[in-house]
Amino acid sequence: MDNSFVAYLQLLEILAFFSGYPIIFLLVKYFDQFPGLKSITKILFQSLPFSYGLIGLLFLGFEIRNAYPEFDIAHFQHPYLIFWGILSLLFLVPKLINQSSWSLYHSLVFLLIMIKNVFETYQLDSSHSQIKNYMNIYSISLGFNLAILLLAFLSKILLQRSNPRSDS
Amino acid sequence: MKNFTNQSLLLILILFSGYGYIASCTQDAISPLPAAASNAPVITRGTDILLPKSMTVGDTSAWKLDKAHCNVMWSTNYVGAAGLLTGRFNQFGMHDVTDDKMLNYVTAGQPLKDTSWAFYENEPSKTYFNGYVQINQSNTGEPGRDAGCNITTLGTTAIVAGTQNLTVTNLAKIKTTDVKFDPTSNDYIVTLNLTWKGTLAAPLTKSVVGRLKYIRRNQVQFGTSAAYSVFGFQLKFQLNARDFGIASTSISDKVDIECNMNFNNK
Repeated sequence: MDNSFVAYLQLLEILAFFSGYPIIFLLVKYFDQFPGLKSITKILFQSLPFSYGLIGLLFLGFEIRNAYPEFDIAHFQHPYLIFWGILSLLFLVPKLINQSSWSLYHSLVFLLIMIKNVFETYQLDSSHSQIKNYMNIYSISLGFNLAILLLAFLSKILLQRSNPRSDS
Repeated sequence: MKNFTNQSLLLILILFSGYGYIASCTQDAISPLPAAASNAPVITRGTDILLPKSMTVGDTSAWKLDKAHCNVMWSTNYVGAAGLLTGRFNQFGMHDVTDDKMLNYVTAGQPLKDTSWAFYENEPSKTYFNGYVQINQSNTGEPGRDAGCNITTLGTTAIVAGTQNLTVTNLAKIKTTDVKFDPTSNDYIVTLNLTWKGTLAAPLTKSVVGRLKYIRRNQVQFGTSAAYSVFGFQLKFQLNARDFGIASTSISDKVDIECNMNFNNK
């Protein structure tokens, strides 16, 4: 038996972390244009790169847990994609924490992989069970990214309240 | 312009999400599953009618018991708790040994013709069997047991050379009372009357149920000899030795009997 099934599962794991981010990002950006929501969406928008960095941190922890105790590179079926995912940690670096558009571009890689796979499997899998898998993962990713964003949002509000001069 | 790009991207992503969720909730028409395999046993019965008639040599419609290639075997757990004790009866036949025939016969061959049976493959109600064994002819391969404890334990008398002992003390016989199809196989369920004196004062008749397997007739031919046909029966049943007064602790209550009978039409 080859590693194709393991590779498929590992891909789903990676997508579960990052594929939901772009639509969350774009929704926040969309609601940001309504003046009535500005006060909330501004903080939300500022929280996006930080939340993305947090997701990268959780992803790193997840991969370390998967690799433990052998830490063998052969365990990883998508090393480049994992490396790309871990790069999201850079959005925790102060100089990049305001580069929200970059976080969108970074996460679009994962979403494009998902879109490609969904369209590819549509013709091959008559029961669409693989598409169900992808969409389940996508839903989980949406919820996960939303939860992390809310966490980042609350953290930012608490930080602002404890230090009113803090602006970023 | 930037807002327009973002909104276009958002629209694309929403469309993709909608497409994905809808696609995941549908599936292509699946051709109907094939019918489930039947669990019913495959039972095929022919229409063979096999009769001994008068066992005239050369009459190919008369089936003769090929005793030299038959056996009647018994087995029981040693002391009721260990491995099997086994043995066979050296002398047996397929004749209805009525009281007037329960005699000592001075002969080395079959004392009575093996003609008390009939087999109708597709009409079990017409099928019947009679059979007997000479108890003192039990052969375990251990002469000390066969001529020793077996004789006293089974309430019979020792073998007299050149004599076939079909007297009441040495005779166990079976007679079918009902033969019917086994609904789960090609076999037949046979109800038998087993009559044996054992160590009792008089013979006891017990009804037992057994399974009869018919090994279909086939034609065989060897070398330049004329072709002939053969078929077989295998009958299995169980009896309780204690019913017949057998008190030996060496053998279990339950004794399994297996009769393998071969016939030919030479």
